[in-house]
Amino acid sequence: MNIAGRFGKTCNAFSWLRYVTAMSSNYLLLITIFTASLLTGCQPEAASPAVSFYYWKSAFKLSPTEREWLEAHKVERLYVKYLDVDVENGQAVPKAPVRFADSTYKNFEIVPCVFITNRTFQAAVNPEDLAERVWKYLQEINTAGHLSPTVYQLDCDWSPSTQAAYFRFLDRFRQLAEGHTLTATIRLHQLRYPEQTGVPPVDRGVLMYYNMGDVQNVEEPNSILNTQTAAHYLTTDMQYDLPLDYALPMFSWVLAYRLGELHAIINQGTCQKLDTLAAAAAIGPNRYRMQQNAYFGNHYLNRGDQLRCEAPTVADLETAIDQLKQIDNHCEHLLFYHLDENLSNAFPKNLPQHLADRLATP
Amino acid sequence: MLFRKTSHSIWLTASLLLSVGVQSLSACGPYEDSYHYFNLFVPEWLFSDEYEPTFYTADDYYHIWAEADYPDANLQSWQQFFEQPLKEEPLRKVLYDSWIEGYENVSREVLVKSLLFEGSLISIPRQEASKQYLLLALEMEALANRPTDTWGYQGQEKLSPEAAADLIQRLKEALEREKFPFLKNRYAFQLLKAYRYTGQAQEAIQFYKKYFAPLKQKDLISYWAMDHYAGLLLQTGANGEGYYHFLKVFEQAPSRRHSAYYSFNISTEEDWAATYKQCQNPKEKALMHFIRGTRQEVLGLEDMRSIFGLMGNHEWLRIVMAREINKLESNNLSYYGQQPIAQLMQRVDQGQSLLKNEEYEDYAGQLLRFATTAYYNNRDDSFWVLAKGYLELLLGRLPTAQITLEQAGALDGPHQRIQGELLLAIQLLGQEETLSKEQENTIALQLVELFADPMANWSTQQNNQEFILELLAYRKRQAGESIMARLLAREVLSSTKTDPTESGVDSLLAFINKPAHSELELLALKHFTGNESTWSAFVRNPEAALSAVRYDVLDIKGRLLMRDPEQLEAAVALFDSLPASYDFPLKVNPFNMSINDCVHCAYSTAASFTRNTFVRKLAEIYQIAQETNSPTDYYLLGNAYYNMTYFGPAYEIMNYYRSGVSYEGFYDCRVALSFYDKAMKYAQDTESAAQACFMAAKAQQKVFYVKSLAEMDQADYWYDKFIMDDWSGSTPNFEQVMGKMQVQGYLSYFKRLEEQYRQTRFFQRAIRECNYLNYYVSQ
Repeated sequence: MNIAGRFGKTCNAFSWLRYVTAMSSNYLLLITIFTASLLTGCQPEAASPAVSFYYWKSAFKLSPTEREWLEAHKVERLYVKYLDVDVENGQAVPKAPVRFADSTYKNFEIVPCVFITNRTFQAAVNPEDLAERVWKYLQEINTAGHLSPTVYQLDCDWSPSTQAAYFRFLDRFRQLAEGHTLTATIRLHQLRYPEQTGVPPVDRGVLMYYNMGDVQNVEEPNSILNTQTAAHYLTTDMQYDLPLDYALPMFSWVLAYRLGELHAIINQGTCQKLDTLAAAAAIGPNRYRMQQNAYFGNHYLNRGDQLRCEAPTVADLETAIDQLKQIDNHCEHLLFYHLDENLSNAFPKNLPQHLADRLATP
Repeated sequence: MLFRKTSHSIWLTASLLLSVGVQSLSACGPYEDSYHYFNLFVPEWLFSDEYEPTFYTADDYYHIWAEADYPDANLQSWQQFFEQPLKEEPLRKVLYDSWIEGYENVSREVLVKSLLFEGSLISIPRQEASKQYLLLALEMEALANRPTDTWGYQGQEKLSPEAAADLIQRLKEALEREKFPFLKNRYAFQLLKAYRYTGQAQEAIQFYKKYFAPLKQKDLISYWAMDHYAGLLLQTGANGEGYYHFLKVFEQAPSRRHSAYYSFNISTEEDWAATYKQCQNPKEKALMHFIRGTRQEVLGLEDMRSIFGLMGNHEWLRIVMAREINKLESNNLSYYGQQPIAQLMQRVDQGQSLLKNEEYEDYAGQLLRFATTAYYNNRDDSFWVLAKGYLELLLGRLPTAQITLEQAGALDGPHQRIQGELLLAIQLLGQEETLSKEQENTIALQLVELFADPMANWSTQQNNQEFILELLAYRKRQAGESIMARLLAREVLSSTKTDPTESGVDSLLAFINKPAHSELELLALKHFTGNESTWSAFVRNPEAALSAVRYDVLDIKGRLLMRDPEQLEAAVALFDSLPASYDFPLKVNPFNMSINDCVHCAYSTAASFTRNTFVRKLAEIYQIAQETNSPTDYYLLGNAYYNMTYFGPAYEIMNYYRSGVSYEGFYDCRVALSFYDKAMKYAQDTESAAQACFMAAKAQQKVFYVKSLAEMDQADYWYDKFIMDDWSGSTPNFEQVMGKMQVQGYLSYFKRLEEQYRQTRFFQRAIRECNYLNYYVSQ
């Protein structure tokens, strides 16, 4: 049964939301409210996965907008980046540790996340020692925040040369976190080629369904979510040796190319913001060229720089959900990267739940 | 073609350049730690040290102003205050907690209290006042220092609020009490920091305004205070004022330039405008553009235009232009990586630019337009000649570049060096015909003098010189002069020795023996053989120098001849023709066998041979063996040819080095194997046959190793992978390798040994001592 058949006419109305991102914010709001009311009639047959968000900023403080989003989806669980781990002078070091700047986090189940750069494992660090340090560091943050998490998440885009070290790290971490649920992020290529990349020794995986395009390529249409690229990695009824949750993108950025090469990634940059930048002229869909030097998004851009604004469209996210259905898996949590003040400007507020329901629909 | 017509004139110019002022050339090219690019436009040659931190680097880890530069300035200010010299090392330890030999176990507090001023002539009041200040400053570190435990979330414990308040109070009292202005300012600095680090930003700002702002004479510590003040202003949202104060610190206080440079990190139009508004004069505005234009992530052209508008042809303008040119070089001439020099030459031959895409060409074109304007407006400034000429060169306009550079005549001072190397590069890029001897002589002189390289080191950080050498090597390769191409590509004798080939050595000898070398050829040979003498000494007596090179290569040739037993007599004759210094005593007797290999072991049976006497003996034995089919002699030949390979203890006879990572030099055990076969064939008793059979098995095993390594993915190989000693705890690998040997037929001698010689005493001994045989038999 196709989606129109299942949701009736009202559900089809949602698909034209893909056009809204180019419209003014007031108009967007109206449309969002309108479609939200239409969507309330669309109910999935199976239980939808719980909607969760990543919180990736170093200072944890929820804005009113962020709180609204969380309340709208009855979000109970937040995946909070506690720290990054990188190498400096050959030593693994913690970076950008989270600081709880208000007490709003206490209303949620917090899943501590740790992002570890692949080069950390390329350096001659001892994986077991690192696991112990990270575990201790996480406990210090938990103590400071009076938190007792039951789930932890580790995020590393491991490669063939670092697989052994990363998995040793996970093995040791798992021992330390006995009694807790350990999850790890899985990239598309790791899902597709488990024989080559290995399956991490954890309890659950989170499939990161974004950042799949070639960010270096000035011709790339959308490096955040390119469902055509993703299609190459998925097959019908494909399986993975871990139960998976899914993570979808809800963010935007502007990529700046200089002298033919990627120069900067400007987080939270949008096409709308570029439209208001006098120094930039549109040269094609989502593409601009700097006519003179100017500051934009805390970057100093130069005349001649080529810019591409990227964000997933609603239609792309729907397609992504349909693609994910090909995997033989029961997704318990549908995560969105990431909770941010600017979400309302770019996405309908009920989109996460809509996507969760769509995933539950056979 | 203009370029072709004028190509000869470049040599006149080059000769002219060389005749003027080359004696003064001394500085090397830039230090480029990561060797990213060829750099002809050497900023170190053009600008004073003061600006060195702004010079372009392609290495992300060596950003500009990466070194904190204040320790010495602070130390000097203390010494000035003391009026009498104080031992520097303990003072350095007190101020910076530096590791100082002899003071490792002395705390800084103890140093201040009892050792620092011991025996000094500094007045007692100054001593006492200094002690009090230094002790309080050490206490402040508990409040101000960064966490020392990297993996501690809460970091190093800071002072409790009560202790911090007490410290602030004591600082206030000390400030009030202090009479020496030098120390008073320092107490004020500590108090400012104490306010800041206890979260009292407003108090800190007010204190700065009250104490430091009115000071007419600002000393070093006042600018340090200003550095903090600027940061506090940013913290409270007064960004324009904050950035302006960083600008002032950058301008006035070299000891805080590093900090101020990175803190001047404007990221919005509003902040830029607000800071600009604070500037008191065009120079300050130009400085803003200079700092921004030299940031790693910025293209500097627009800021250059602004500097030009504000200050005219100022040095800052030239520095930014030099950076932009270096940037073009870095990103387009990185021929060590993915782009071989041939690709560059192809582009040049097709009349294209040296730049990799249209965006670069467009930017280089804009830079050229700017440089051309500056060139016509400042004809007496040699910098713009170079900038214009080099940008034309990068854009592929070689004839125009040549005219620009030649028409200027011999430029002044350091500009002349760059002019010379640019003209040389133009010549080599454009000249397809073979270089004449006269041209080669000029080039040789330039390689020595232009690059201040009298030892012909070549493989230095003078990567601009290497660019010229790469171009030369390419041209020689194109002309079919493979030896010169190899030498100009920096092949050296030691690398030839590592893995020589007969044809390679023969062609080298032919090159050495050819009559009437050009000076470039001699220079290349000098570099090839090493750098024991200067170029001038080398070229003074080329025949003597060539003779030494010839002997070296003949020695390699002799060792190569030895690989073929039929050539042993020829090798003997060749070694005998060399000076006695080429002979050497042997450490081990190559005729001896051992059940287990040990390359570096000291064998109890010391050798009485020298290399030459041994080779003569080897040739004799070979002849006798062939005439008599003597099994003993074949066995000894087998031992010698096994021991002289990479795997044997006498490897030095045939090889100069023994690699720790791969098989190199002579490693072919098939020669030894053939002798062991004959030893077995003619053996007259089973004991000696068993012994030869076992040795044949050893040789066969090494043949398998060599074959396996050749077929193996190199990433999967590690040194001595096949050696059993390294397999402790790794039986699967051992079984796997032995299994492969079995399947591929490389255990045939073990099989024969077991089947035919099991009853011999030698077999019983071998099975006890040799784990491989033991394993084979046990399966």
